[in-house]
Amino acid sequence: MANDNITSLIDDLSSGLQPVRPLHHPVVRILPWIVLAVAYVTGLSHFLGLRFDLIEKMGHSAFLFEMGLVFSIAVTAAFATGWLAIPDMREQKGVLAIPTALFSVFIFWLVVQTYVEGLHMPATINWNHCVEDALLMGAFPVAALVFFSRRGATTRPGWMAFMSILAVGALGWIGLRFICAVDVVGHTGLYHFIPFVFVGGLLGALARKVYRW
Amino acid sequence: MMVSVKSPANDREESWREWAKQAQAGDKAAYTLLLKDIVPFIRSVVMPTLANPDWVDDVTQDVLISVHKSLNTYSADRPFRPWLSTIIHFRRTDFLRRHYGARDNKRTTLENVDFQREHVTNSPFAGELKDIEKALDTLSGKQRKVFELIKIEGYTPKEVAGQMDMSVSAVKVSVHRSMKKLKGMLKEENGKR
Repeated sequence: MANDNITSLIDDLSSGLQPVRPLHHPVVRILPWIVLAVAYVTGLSHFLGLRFDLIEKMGHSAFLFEMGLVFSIAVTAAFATGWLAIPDMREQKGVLAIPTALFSVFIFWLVVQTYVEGLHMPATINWNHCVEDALLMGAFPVAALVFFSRRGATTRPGWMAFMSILAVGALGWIGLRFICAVDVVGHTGLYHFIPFVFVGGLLGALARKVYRW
Repeated sequence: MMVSVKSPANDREESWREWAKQAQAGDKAAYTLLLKDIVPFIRSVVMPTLANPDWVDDVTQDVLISVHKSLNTYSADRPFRPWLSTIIHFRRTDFLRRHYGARDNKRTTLENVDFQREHVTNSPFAGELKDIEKALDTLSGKQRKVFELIKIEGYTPKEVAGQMDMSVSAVKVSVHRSMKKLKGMLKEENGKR
């Protein structure tokens, strides 16, 4: 009986077979997203208005280090989503370690910054325009990345959600640092970082549904 | 110096890879061969890891459907077996999550007396259940069957009438009489306590 079911399922699947185009290499698949997302964040930053002291900040090695680090997180996490879209990740599970390690360095960087410069939390916590800007920065890239990812078949939806929000959040962070002149961790942590944590938490909670196949 | 070893496993891997490549191009015959050939492998992987042998075919079917859905993610320049194994593990975990999530492991049939004796707490109404069973025994075979079909299994009088070769009104009358008889007997039993 069970064998009959499997035989008839195989017959159904075979008769319904359509030619499929194999997915390109993960790097090739994700490159267009990186180009689009960088263009979007750059365009949006110009539209919202660049910070007045951006030229001066570009001369600070700490700022450049932070931007380089965060951009590396964005790129490596985006590539990781490309690998995650394939069930066995082409046996390259190590690609998850790179953005995760870089993200740890970033968190450590924030801790060091807090230790050296202080936290400087805002006196009152209220809805800040930076939160809206953060959500704007992330909206299109996250939607596009989910669309790209759903064309594959991930067997690690949780990791996929984490890598997606890491890629999107990192690009959004760069955009926000280019438009907002407030550098203290109390502000950036609360209004630049937390919105992405919130969206990431939501995506993580819904990951099984979002990436179901 | 690397020496390639010719073994049945390697041959099979080569065949799977070739069939998968042809299936991606739309070759239905190759696809049928592939799916039929991977079934024993899927079974051999999931069988030792599932508590209930009845689940093996459910998981196997889930895996076959998943292979179909994700055929575009296979790359012919990569080995087939790791790709398939990952799908098998994913679907098995998914199946178990659904199973335990729906608390199916906490369910059993009423006929499983051994399980009930060991795992089900004796209800405080157990005495009353015995009384009901005793009262049901006093009904005639046909009357009891009609009563059980309607009141326990939830069939409509029309369905039972069709099944028992009776008129709908005769079914309703039979159930009404049985109910009256049972009520009387149970009242009597309660009065004795």
